[in-house]
Amino acid sequence: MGNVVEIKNLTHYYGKKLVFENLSFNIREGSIFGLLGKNGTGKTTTINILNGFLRPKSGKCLMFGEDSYNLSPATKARVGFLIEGHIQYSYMNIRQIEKFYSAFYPRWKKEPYYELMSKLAVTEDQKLSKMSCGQRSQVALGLILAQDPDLLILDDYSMGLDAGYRRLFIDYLTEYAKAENKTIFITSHIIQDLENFLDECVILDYRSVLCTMPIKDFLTNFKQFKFESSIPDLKLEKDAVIKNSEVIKNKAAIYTFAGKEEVERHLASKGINFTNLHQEAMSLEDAFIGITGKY
Amino acid sequence: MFKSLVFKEWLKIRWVFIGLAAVNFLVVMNIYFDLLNTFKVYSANVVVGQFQAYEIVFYSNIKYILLLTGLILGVFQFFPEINQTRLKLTFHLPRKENKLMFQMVSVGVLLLISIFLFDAVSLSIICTKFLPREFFESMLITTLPWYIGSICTYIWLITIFIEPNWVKKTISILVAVGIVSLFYAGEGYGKYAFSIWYFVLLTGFCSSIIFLSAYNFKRGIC
Repeated sequence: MGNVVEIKNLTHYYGKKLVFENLSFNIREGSIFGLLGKNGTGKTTTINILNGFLRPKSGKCLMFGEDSYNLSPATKARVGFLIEGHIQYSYMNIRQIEKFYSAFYPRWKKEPYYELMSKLAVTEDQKLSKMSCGQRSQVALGLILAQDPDLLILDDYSMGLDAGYRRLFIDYLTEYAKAENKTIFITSHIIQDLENFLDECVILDYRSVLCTMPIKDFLTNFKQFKFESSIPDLKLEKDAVIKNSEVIKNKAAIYTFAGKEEVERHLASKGINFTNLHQEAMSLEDAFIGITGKY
Repeated sequence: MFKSLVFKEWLKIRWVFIGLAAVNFLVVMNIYFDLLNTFKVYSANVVVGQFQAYEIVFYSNIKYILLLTGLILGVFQFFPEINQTRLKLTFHLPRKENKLMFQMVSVGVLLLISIFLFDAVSLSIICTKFLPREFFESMLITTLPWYIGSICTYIWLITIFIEPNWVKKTISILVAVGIVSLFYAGEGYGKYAFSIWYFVLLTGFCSSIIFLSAYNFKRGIC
């Protein structure tokens, strides 16, 4: 299977502020790809570039082989786009918005849209502006599913949603998109929801990429080791082995792609004495915080 | 698909359009009843003589209503597009962005023209009912720059709204104020009779700047 999205050496600035440099990754057809990162690391910027709403300073961004800044109407029809905050035409009601969009998309299927609407406590003539954030998110999702796109780009789908709506969102994505081999590119600030959903991810830090890999590999290979040390004011610098660390009094945690023996050798080589070095299991959210840091 | 876009624009601005049409209707009615009262009090010769001697434009009430009509329609049509960058939704539709923009603006201009046609026909009926034919011809020439000015105001408002760069936005506001004021500067009957084609060309030129702002919107603020 080919790549639906190819991002090569993308660099972008806002004024003189560097957002990211040499960002590169590919999204395979049929995969669920997560763009993860803390606030301000460039997730929405990447999505804007990908949808042609921002011209990058340098680098290439291809979607279905076309330059994302000059997408043809035919390619745009293959892409479902959820704008951060589930933005839609709030002056329309449920029926009107479905009627409006259906004229633009040849593969339009209204069934998933109305199925999703039937789960909400709303009438068909209810305006979007009179709905809750959760209900609006389902309208936005329903419209994307009805469009039947090959690629779904979902920018922070979880914004403002409670646990129930977040679950409903992921369940519907799984049912309609994953089951039909759609490609999904998703960002969210609630990482735990994506643990069993993503196939691959790229994790952004401020101005750089921390890692790009299949999510299973990330969860298997990225580890947290805890230990105690008698060194007062222990300081652990980031290096090739230690990707991140936390020290509270004499207790330390390090985050690494290395195995236990390599970590032991590494600490010893740095003259750090330690006891009770052990690996702690991590969820995706733990691993995300581990690699990006809490601050 | 144009039909669908018309449907979207109509849903967005139908109430403001009806409101603006109603305001224009009331102003025309006001002009009519004013003239009716004047003719009841004074003889036709006196009224016509006064109008000619002092260049009293008895329909001047509508001048700035037309300016406001273009301004308000533009605000209500494009504020929802700019608010929360909703224009991205429209630009993501499977059509060329310039075509979508052109069609959205066309809907607004057609609605404005429909209001202007009502005003022009109503004022023509009033003129021909009370006054000599010369007043009817002069009314058409006097009001035409105001109608074109209203469309120009509408176009500049859109340009200013969608321009993402604040420096360019500010420059556009200054240029817009300068250009729009030209359309409303004339006092008296038919002062701009020889400038109407220049006004049409100027408005046509200003329309093209919308696409530059739309390009800047798409390109993002850099």
